[in-house]
Amino acid sequence: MNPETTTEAAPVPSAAAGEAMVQVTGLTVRYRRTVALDGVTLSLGTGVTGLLGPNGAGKTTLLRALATVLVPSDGSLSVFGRDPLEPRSRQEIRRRLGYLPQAPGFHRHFTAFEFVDYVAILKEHTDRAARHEEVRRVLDAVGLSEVRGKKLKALSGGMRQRVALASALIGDPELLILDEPTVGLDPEQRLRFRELVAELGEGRTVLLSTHQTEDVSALCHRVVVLAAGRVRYDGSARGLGELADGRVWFSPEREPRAVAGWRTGTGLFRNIGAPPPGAQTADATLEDGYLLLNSAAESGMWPEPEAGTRPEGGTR
Amino acid sequence: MAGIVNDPQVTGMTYGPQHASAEVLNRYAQGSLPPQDRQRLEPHLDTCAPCRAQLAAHTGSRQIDRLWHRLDHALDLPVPGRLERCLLALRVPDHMARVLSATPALRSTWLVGVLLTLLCTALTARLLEPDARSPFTFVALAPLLPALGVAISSSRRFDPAYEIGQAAAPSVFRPVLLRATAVLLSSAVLAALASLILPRLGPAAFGWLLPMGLTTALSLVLMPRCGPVTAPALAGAAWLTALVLTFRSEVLFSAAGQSVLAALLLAAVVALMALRAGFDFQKGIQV
Repeated sequence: MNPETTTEAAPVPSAAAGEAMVQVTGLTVRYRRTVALDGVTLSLGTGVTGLLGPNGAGKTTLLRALATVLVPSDGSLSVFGRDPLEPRSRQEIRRRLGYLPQAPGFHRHFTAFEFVDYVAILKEHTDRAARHEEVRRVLDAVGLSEVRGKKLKALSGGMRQRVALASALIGDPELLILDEPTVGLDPEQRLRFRELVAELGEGRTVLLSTHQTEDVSALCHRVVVLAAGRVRYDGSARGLGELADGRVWFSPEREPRAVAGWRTGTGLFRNIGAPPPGAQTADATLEDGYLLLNSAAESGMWPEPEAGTRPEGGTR
Repeated sequence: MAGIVNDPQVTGMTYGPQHASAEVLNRYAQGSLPPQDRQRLEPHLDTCAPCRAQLAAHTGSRQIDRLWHRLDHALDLPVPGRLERCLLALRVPDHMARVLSATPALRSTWLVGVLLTLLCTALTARLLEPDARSPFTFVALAPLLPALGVAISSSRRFDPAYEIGQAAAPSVFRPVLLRATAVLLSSAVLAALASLILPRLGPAAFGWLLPMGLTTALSLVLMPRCGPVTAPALAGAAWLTALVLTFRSEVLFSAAGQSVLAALLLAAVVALMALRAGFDFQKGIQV
């Protein structure tokens, strides 16, 4: 099985059915000799879409192009039915989108309130009273009301990340682009973040780039996997996990035939790949499917299970 | 005062003849009491505990919550930084003051550095060029400083929130123009101060003023095509080239030369205004 054909095996659940807020066709971005995105085609509708991929896969480049801060080398891009290369359309798009960049920077002499207020001003919210009300709303949404008067240099990394998220929520944007938003958040903050993003995904388009497959499992109805600048998977979150059905097994020793494997708390090795005959397979998760897809993308080979493996029933 | 003391219109009087009526207190609580009546009632409330108690009964808990909420937020609003306070004192609108306070080339360290550089150059000119009508080193240097300030205020390297700001601002023209104007004005004020110690304080000693405007305007005109660092570098290089080419004649500081510089400045401003609709400097953009 060719890993690039997995889209057909797990069709896109809602983007095709709903109205596409974002349409990307043959998008290519080159940095001198490096091709960061290589003919990416996808559409995004309402709901939360997860974007997975190893470092250097082109996730941030794709997000920056969608956020109108980077001009693609080739291909076409349409956001809200508008072309971001046209100046007036680009302004209209920016008014309706929220963008949380990877590793956002801050003016650290500002307080949390002042920084979000600064971003609101850049978003052309010039009426003071209405703007301050909006700043309070978004700081409250990310749970930072209590520390809004503290300087950013005195806040923890997780809190600053939430300040950046609050900035992205200014103006209640219809399209939210989040580049690794859970970096630096503790488990409790991540849980709160999931609640917030799940709520935001109702009636909006949210594109969430992350390395956290748990976040994708918990939040996303749809997953896009990028590798080496190309779309390797575009389908349901459940479908991505199903790619590893019958390809996860436990063994007492490290299995050389596994594409990925680690020792679990029970002392057994959890292996992903083509199981040997007689191996007792385990339930596969989204992470298993993702790891399998990545290894297949790197090797160009899809590990077929050998005859005689015993898949166990699989609710996940 | 309507509603207080023997007012014939008073109905539902709760207290004695010296107290406000229930209706008046209710209208006061709702905020619908006329200003002149409000001004007479408030001193009375200040001294009359029964009326204050009665007023509390007329003030809904939601109103009190709203009042506390407003008060709470007003108290929580941060005190602006030093630069922002100075700008607000100069009657700069608060949203502009906030953007300017996030401008790297308006930070005190930068401004002090610029002032010291200009003072040292002016002092050097006083010592080395005591007879010069227009000291070369000073007039050569001063127009480069706002171009440098524009570069550091617009570049990713010096603005930590560059990417957030770029995606947030529907049009980057306004914040870039605002910052460039502030950088130009602050540089001009500092250069004017430093000019006071130049050897000869004639009009020629201020020959840097028009070139300063020109390098700033040219930086902005070139920015969409060349980027926020290369554009000011090219503008600065153009000024130095013009200086080198006219080194012996001092024609740039004659009336004719300054007229040409003024015309070029006007042309640059017109070009900038023409570019404003599509002004942007995304990575890879070709205007």
